Amino acid sequence: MKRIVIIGFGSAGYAAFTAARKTDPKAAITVIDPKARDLMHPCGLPYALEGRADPARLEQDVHLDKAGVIRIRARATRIDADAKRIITDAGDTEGGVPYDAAIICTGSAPVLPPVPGIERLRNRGLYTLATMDDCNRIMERIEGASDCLIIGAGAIGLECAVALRARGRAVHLAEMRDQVLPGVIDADLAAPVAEHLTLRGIAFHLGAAVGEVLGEDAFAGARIGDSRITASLCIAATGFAPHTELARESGIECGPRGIVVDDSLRTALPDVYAAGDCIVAWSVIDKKPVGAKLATSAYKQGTVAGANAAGGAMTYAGTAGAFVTVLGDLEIAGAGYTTEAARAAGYEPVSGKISAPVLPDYIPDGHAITVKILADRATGRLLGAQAVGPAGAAARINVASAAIEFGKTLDDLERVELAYCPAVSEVHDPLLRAADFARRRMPKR
Amino acid sequence: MSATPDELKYSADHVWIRMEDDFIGVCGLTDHAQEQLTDIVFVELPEIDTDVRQGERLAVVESVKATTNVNAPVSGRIVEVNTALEDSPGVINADPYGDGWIFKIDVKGRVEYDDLMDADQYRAQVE
Repeated sequence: MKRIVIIGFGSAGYAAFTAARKTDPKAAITVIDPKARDLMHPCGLPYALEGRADPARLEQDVHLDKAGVIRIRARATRIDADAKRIITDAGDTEGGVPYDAAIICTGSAPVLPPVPGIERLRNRGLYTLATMDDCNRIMERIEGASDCLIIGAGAIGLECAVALRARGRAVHLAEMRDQVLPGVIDADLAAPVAEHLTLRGIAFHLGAAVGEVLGEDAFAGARIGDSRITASLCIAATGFAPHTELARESGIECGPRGIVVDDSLRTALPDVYAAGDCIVAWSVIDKKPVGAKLATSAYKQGTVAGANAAGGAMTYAGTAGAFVTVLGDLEIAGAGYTTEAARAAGYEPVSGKISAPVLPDYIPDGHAITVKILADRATGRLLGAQAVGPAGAAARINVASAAIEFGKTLDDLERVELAYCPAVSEVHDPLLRAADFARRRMPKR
Repeated sequence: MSATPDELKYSADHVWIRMEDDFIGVCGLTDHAQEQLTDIVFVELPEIDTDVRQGERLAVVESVKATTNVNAPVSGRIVEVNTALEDSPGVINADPYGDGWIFKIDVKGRVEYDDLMDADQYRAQVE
């Protein structure tokens, strides 16, 4: 009877458990995770801050005992590959937890921006947002706060900014790069997003780094470029670092972005796999490492790792990086490379972009959507897609993401017939028109 | 009421031309044409050094509503194209006679140029 041990229980760990169970119903599965409750849904945290989700429902038990799983509430500290045992910080597993296969799903943690003295103010008016504790602390601090600062204009920072505005707070947002959602959508699509959010009362400081954080006992404000702002609540949403402590302690090769794995998600240690935020993921387009840490990728990777740990032979092809965020009245979605990332990966991208009404002009109150498609100038191979609009962005990006996943070209994408009726779309959809424009920009054959 | 600058010459296909010097003419779509098209979303530009005959299609302009060909107002060789229109096709709507210029042509057909419509004749055609 195979003994499978899953270390860490988030999206990757949960997917690994499900896949292992399906692949080998007789396997003995153990989950090692320090959380009091089984699962926690961090993507829901900004919604809890806004008051749209009940924070109590972000944590969940999944009755692992009923599934015959042994649950150890502890943190794994080292994998002894010779003895094939996992050492934890819990007293009652002296000698460690034995394994035939282990899966590391230790996730990641937020990093604070490199501002002198910022560590001193952590949890004293200045917070990151990744755990239920973070959520509870912020909810408490919101009560007495009228002015807030968000650091970082990624999806999480922007979602927090919108949440705090929805609760009537004055919100400043500082971002080092010149646009919102840097690295995720192109600057020309980011500009209308920033405009929309500015109209909603978010004061942006783009292209500005936080030089100093102010306050003795608690966060009281910051110096951003040449401006000084006063605020009593700060949320730092400036990226995540993978939890590689266990892997390093165990002699497993890691890079700065995480644990190194092959396409079966095996680490350098025999019978030890890794999945989720803790690994270096790669692009499905060209296998190059990517920084994106998405719940959907973690779930896919966990499935592959769990199946393989149980004796399967799956491979993970890489991520197309499909994502979506809803900010105010805008849905913003993307997949694949941005123009900048495509160039950095060595491509010369060709693009097609359109801003057009989604519905026929005889349907009143139709909205417009902006869609941009990127492809390799030489081959027409799809490299990326982005969409911004009140609705329908994710739906279109999902089609593009599938096409990117399967290595399709602009010609291939244009063949797709999309679902249409006048209440939903137009006969010739903006997604396909954008692909057509990109194709017409390629060198004439 | 669309604008039809007096100093330009016009083709029946709604293309204007302004001579930069004795040889090179700057061309684009008229205000009337861009108004009819509404929001322009894509411009397919000609290749530089292409030789064209009068009336030959050398560019395509696509809007949310329609697609129109841009035909050579005179015979000649394309010497420059407005690549800014690739990222900002809407400039044709905003400034059809200025920043919305589409191509520059080394004019070979002098007689063809002289026979083009002047502003009054073009206005009469479109109103």
